[in-house]
Amino acid sequence: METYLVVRAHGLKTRLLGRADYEAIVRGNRSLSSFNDYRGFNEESDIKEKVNSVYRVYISRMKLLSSVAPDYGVFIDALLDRLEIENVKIQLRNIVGERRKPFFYPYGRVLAPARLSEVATENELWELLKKTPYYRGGKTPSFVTGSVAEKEFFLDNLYYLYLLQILSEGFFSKKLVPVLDVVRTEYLVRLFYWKIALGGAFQRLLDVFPKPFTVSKSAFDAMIKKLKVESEEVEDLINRRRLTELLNRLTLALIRYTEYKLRPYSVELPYIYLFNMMAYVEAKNLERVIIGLDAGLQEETILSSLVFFK
Amino acid sequence: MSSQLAFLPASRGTLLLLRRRLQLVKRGKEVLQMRRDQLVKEVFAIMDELKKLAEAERKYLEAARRVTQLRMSRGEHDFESIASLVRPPEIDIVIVSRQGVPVPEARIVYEPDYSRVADPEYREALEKLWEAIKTMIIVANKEMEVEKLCEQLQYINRVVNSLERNLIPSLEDTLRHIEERVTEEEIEEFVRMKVVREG
Repeated sequence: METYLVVRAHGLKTRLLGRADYEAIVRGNRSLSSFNDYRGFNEESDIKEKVNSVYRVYISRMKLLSSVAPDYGVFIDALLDRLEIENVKIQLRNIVGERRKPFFYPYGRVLAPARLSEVATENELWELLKKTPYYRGGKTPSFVTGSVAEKEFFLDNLYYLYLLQILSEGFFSKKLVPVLDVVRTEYLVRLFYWKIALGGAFQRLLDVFPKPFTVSKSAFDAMIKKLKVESEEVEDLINRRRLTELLNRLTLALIRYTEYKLRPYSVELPYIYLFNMMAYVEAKNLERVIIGLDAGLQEETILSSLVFFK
Repeated sequence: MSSQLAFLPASRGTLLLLRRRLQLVKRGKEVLQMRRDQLVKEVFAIMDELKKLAEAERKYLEAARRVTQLRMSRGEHDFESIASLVRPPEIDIVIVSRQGVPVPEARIVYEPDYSRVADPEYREALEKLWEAIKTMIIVANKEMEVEKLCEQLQYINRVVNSLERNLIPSLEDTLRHIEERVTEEEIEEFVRMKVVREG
């Protein structure tokens, strides 16, 4: 079953878009709906619908894998559940912020967007989370600074704790050992973002919050070295406040690192992790293309924002 | 000669009345011309400030492009929800007097609050956009001021032209006509008196 699952993932990988495909879409030589997987994409719909239809393709690919190998469904769902945590963050910002109509990812396994949008207070949100696998039985969190960023940081930690818990479960623990290092690196990339966003409060919060891995002071330097990104380049991007560029750079390096680390397991379960990463990056890339074209940005600007892994 | 003036009785009293009226109209015209000069001076002064418009527009486009790029890079979901963390600014429109001309002016009641946005890139982009919008508001106020002052100038010009080309010549014509009539009547009276005395 595992081999069949991985073979299907390899099959799906051949359908992922390459640089030439993105260039053809951006230059208007080809429409997204001309690609088989995106046949349902409606060029006439509004931008939000377009963006969500791209994510629907990503979700359907992962769901397909989950359906062909139900034994591994928990693991595949856990990878998709990242979107659910993102939806929780969106609702949190909505509650704390100006309460406009929230725009959710079209995914909900334990927390459907319709249910989330009914949540009116933060307390209600934490209570709801306690009923989910992300924070089952947890205490209502108490925060140090009370900022939204702190709460989002907490949610990110919850997701990685949950993912680590799935990866460490008896059944997967043996098969997914190689993935642990990648997840840890991915978590550190995420932490790196929070380190910049939270500034001085970061270390304090890191000490207080439950976290999936221990993070030493040299962890970030080691992560940058491991991903083979020039530390001067990282410093420069931080100083110029080019966080998106930095995140793109680190994401690309992370994909390369994941490819390198999981190459020996190309017909084993860890490959699903890599495939998820690539499919997610495709959705992100297409989202950028859709927004970039809608906003009338230059082709070069759009293409330079994409992450190519092929 | 205006229709009203045509029916005035030719008398010394009318003559005095018309002279006073002509004097008043001429003084009014001078006052309006002075006001016109003052408004022109004011418009020119504002026009100098409007030269900043190109720079303000450039800054606005740059800031808007930066925000669009950020929206593209971070994605619609992230951008939308982060944007909902920003308390939007409140801008009020009040009527102010500029050189005695009522001009609508946009005033910032309170600025946007991005304190809930932790991401430094978002904050920087939003701050720059707001700075650019603020400059655009100032420039738009100046543009509105120029527009309203120019409308007032047009009105004053119309009045001055009407006085200059219509009312004053018409008064002067009437005055001349009545002067002639009064003189004729005086001569007639003088001749009549002389004939009566000699007869």
